[in-house]
Amino acid sequence: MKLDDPEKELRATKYHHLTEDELDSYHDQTLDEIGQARVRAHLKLCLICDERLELLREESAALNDREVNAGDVELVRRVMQQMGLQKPKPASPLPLQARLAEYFRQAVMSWRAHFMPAAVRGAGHRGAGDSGEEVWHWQSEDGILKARATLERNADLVIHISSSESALDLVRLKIRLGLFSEEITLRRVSNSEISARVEIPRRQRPKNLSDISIEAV
Amino acid sequence: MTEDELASWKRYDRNDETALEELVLHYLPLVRFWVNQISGTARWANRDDLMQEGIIGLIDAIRKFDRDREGEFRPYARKFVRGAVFRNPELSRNRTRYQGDLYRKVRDVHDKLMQQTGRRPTPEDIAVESGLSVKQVRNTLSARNIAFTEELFDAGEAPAAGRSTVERQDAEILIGEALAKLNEREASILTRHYWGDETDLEIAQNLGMTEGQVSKIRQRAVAKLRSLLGVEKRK
Repeated sequence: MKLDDPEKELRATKYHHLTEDELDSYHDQTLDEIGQARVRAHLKLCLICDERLELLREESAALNDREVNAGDVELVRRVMQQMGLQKPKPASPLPLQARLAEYFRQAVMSWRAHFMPAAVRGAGHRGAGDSGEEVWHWQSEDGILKARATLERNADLVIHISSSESALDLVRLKIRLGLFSEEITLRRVSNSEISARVEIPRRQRPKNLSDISIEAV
Repeated sequence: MTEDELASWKRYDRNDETALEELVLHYLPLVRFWVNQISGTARWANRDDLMQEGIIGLIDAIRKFDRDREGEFRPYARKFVRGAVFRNPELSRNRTRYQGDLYRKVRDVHDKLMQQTGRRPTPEDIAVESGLSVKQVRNTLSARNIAFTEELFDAGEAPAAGRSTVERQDAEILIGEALAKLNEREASILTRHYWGDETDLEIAQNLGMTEGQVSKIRQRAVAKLRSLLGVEKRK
């Protein structure tokens, strides 16, 4: 390309809109003096390029806000997984409260199935005279929570709840059996065990043992 | 580039699996910024979808970025992010050509006034000349709208004066290269005079010279430019 008149060309170049690269370099102060002079000359004349430069300034300022929340992390992971750049992580365990609710739902179902009225007559009462006889036991699928019931010599019914999950230390439970209701606290009894027990006196033991509820308070 | 940023890049180079996620999270504000800009104009578009497209663009940029050859990552990544977001069919499908046409009209009037008057036109000037309202002109020339419209309608043509964009860029490069071959004083006088619109007297006052000296150096510099550009002096 040949230029006809250097003076005319010099004058004309200040009217040429700036490229994004030029605006970036001007913004990042990486232009040489001649480049800077041309950008400044054009910006003095051009509303459009001035607005475009302003947008780059806003972009730069926005990048200083590096706050990332859990939603951002989740979104990025989801996109990376969709692109096959990250293996899906195993589902994170439910929060403790939700896990406990699920454990107790299963435990209560097991209890009710075991102590349906016919079963009480057939099984529960059969060994009632033996000392501390286990009349029911249950364990969660992951093995973290265990529960069992024993019938003591004096005919009191004792429900034992234990766990290897240290996070359950000091969690309070409310156990209701018929009209009997009591709150107990899971406590650490060894390095690997948290447990609690509730004694239901014979007199307060309902006829229908299946009417039970257990919940974390 | 901050030290943390550089450390993440180095770990990414060593195929550290967690580094890519770290880098994406580090540059996520860039995606958020452009998605905010674009969804501010394209209010009908699903912002979450645009974010996902933008993240895909950002990941693409990270994977293709060559730290030794490219400059700053931000401008490099911006092109990928915007490109990916604008590939979302919702953006172009629901867009009429009206906005592109309006932008071109306003820009053409702006450029005409800029060259005619030698000063920056105001939205009011453009409104009078184009027959649009000032509000329309302001909206059309908002940074957000310019970015959106130019990207979507490729409406970035500058005042032409009979030349294509490539020819204009060529001219800029040739002039820039020739100016760089002059000595500092000569280049300064030419840029002040032709770009900064300073008279010889003003330049003389600013550089601590006499007006005559400036005039002489300027004429000599123009002659050098002619020679450097292979232009014969007009008779």
